[in-house]
Amino acid sequence: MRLVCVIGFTPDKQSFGDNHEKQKLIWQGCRMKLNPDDGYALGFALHLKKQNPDLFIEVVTMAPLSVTPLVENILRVGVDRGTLVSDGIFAGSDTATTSRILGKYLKSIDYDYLLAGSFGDDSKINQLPPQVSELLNINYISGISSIDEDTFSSSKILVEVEEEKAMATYELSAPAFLGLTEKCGHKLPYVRLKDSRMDVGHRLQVIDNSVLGFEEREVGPKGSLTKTISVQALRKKTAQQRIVGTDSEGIEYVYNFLKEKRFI
Amino acid sequence: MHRALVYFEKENCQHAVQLLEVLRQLYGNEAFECYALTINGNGQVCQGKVDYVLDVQNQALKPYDQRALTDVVSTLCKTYDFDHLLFVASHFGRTLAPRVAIRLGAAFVSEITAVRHDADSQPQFIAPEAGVQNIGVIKAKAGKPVVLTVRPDTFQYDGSQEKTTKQIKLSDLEFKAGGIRQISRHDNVDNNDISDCELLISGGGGIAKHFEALAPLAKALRGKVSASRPILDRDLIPRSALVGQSGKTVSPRLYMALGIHGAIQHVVALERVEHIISVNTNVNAPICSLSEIVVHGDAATFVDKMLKKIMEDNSHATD
Amino acid sequence: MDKNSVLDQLNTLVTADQINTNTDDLYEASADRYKKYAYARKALDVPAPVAIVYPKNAEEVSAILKFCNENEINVIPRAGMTATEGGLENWKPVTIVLDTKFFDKIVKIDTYNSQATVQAGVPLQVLEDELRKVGYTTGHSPQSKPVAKYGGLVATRSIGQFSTLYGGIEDMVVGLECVFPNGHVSRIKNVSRRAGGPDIRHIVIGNEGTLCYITEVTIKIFKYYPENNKFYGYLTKDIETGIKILREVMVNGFRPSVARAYSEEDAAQHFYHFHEGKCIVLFMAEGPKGIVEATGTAIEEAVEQFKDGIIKQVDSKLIEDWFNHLNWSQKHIDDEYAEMRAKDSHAGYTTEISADWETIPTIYNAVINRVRTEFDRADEITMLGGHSSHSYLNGTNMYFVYNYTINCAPEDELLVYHHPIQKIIVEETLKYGGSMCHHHGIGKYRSEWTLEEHGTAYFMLEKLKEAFDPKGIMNHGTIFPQPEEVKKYIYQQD
Repeated sequence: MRLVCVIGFTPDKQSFGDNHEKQKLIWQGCRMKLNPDDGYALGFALHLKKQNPDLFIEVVTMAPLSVTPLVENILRVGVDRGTLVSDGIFAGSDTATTSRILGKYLKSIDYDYLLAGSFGDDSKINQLPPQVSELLNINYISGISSIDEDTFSSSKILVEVEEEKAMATYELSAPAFLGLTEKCGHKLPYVRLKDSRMDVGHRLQVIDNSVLGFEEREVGPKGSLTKTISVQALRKKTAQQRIVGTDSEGIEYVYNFLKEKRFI
Repeated sequence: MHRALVYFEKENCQHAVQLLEVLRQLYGNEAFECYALTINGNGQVCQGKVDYVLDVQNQALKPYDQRALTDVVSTLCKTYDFDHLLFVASHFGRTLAPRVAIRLGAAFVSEITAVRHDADSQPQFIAPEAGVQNIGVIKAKAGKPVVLTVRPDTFQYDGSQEKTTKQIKLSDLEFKAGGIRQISRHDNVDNNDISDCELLISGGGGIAKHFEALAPLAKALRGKVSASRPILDRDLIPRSALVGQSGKTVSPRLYMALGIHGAIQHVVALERVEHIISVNTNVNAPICSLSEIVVHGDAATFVDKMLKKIMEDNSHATD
Repeated sequence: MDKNSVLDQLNTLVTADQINTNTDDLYEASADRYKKYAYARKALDVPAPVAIVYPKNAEEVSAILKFCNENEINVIPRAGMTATEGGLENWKPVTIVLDTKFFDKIVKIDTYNSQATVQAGVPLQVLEDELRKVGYTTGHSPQSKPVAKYGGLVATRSIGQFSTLYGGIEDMVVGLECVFPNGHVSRIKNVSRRAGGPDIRHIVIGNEGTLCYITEVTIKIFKYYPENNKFYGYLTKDIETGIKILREVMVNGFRPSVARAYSEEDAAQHFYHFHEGKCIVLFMAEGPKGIVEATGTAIEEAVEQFKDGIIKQVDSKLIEDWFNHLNWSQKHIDDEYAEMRAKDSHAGYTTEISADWETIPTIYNAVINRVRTEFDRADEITMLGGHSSHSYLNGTNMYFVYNYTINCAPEDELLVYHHPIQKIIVEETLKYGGSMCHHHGIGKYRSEWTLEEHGTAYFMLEKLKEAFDPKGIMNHGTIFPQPEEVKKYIYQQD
């Protein structure tokens, strides 16, 4: 059985500043971290591997080479292979283009299931899995809160999904893409200090455009159909404080406030 | 003339109606035709609001079979040549829309919360980006269609323009179903998760003796009840309703702190709260320093009076 | 002796209900709050004790210690379990924990002679509540007050939040009873003062369970005047100004019960509602009316003298309100464990040192500077600051407070984050002639510096150990350095 975790790295919120005048966030030099939900997907895969050591896990990510140490740490906790899809001409691709780049690599390998986090770091849905699934012509289901581990060995898998108003159980045929949430409950373990220098270079491969063979106009900003014009930090307004009593005037004031803000 | 498709997912019709406001803002005064797509639904909610209802009836078409739905939506898009395809950013809408965009080779902007126009009158979309504290301004390159998902409750449709709605029944659309099957589905029993709700009525030591009074107020305001540690200590709530370092981190739009002192261990868990109202007999309580409104007085009295006020106004409204 | 034989033998000394071998309880007994995060994550790397034993009287303690001494079984005395430096952590494969659970009686409250006698397992809070009923107080109020017990308070040389007026536990202990490894029971009698040779109380106070087991304590008690309490608070432009004001009040001969100076960062986490990004100095004056008023005037005069460094006065009600929410309880501890299980974080660590007035600011600045520039995970620190909270005629303490996001395995947390920071604090303190351990004790995790802490006086400490515990069965690894285990359990080098 082969599992491929398609993961993403995002800038670490705590480490980026912003530049007011240009209304742009400063991304350069800020630390990257694994998208938290992707960590749960990896954590789940590693949990399965504990029970079934024959399971082969590959992580695939498209990112700058600067994330290499982060991928190496993932290999140090038990993932079998790391694939870093990286090339200067890929930089600046939107998610659809990123999906096409990753999709091309994924078409070239064998897998039973693809795994990823359901959500991105920005509380938005992780768009990669549905897009990649479309390119690979496989099913994708998001919001998975638990997986029936016993069904993993067969060609059909049972998953429980948390929808807005309901819990549902689905049966999916392999191959399929599974979008996990933190409710699956297995965190990605940290590398032990004693393993932190373990050499994993032989398990890491970098796939660049010499392998994938895109035309320059197909990828990066040129190949993307959307363009982010600016990113701004939302600033919390400091509102004037008002002190009232519990008399009818005070109640009226709070009531009107609730109404004005559409809570009533 | 512009032409747009709005996907009316059976379970999210009320949210889909709001998307009509997105169209109004997108096209301004320019003429446009609005198509509603309903699958195995009755299209009633769109009556008088859209120009056409594309009424697809086929029981083999399941709302969770996104490959089949992608077949249907892209076929329709090719037939009607839409400029924009709009989906509610719902559980299924969020994953269907990107699939459709890939299939059509279309530009895709996800989870927009606002629309505006640049100097050349070209639309720009506002959406959360890289952490919820940031927003991105995104533009689609020339070409159509553009696929959008829209965050629920970010647009308000006022329904002022009455339209004549024509029904188009579609029954012979081709699609390929399979590979996924629903085994069971049951409604979520009362979701008590305080970490994803709009309004929290939260109690502390100052209202411990009347803690049960919070639930009716929370209900009246369609919020949930949470608490600080003194309430947990008295076993009045489970730990899952505890706000604080050792409990949940919450981000409601409104946090009403009733008789809560506001130790740092409590307030660190108030992340991205838009408004805080605190009710406290002690205006020196730290929580008051964070509050937009401080009600100086007994929290139980406040709850009582507030609830009465809401009830009174409700009964007037229905008179 | 193997574990089963130990249990068999124990059964001949005490009854079955006095021996606890429950797995969860033994897991809890294998460490203390030093390894709180690893404990919460079920990742402790130290051996569990064989049993927790609850003796009922000094005779039983004597018999158990004698048995352990003869068979060289490690013994860890335990009371309220609020230790923070590994004093309760177990480093030996065969260990028994001797718990004060049944030493729970208040023997006598004697208001006429202003003293009270309690058994070693009496919680401080219980005695305090009893004393309040008759208008008295222990004057002792560590943050752990609701949980800590007298045996532990005395064994660790504990200190409370009102120490500037009432002193540390060493100023309160009148007499005590303790048992030595050879089974000998000593009783130090209760007198107001004497010149009968060296003050032998100080052999017991602060021994951290490495010399003897405390069974009973007599302490001073004080008249309580809460109605006279006065509070003062000021924002200051730097922590040095705060420390200068503390010194001024002290050297002029006044003793407020609380006298504290906070750095900006520490002020932010205690007083987020009024600190305005500044440092804070605050006082509480307590006692008879005349003394409180005179102390209040002295505080105001000291503040006036350093007014250039004062930004503004804080409403005293805010200080009073803060003060009334100060102590933590067992609930706080439970909460922290819940947090540690759910998230990769905890409430942080502290390292408390002391030095004279002149040296404290130097140490503070040197430490902060070194942590920021040398510590390789400095960018993961979410809070680093400190406060002075216990002042004396000739100096004060500094409580370094730090927290960080934990981006490593629970087993590695201490070595990756806490230990390197604590090492810097200890090194700088010793370099400038301060003490590395103001009131948490040495435990096991500062034992690597015990020699340096005491210098040539270590000779005296070593002789005490040789004399009272020649076989080294009492709390192996605490205070007295054990290089093998330091390597294994602190540096993870097998």
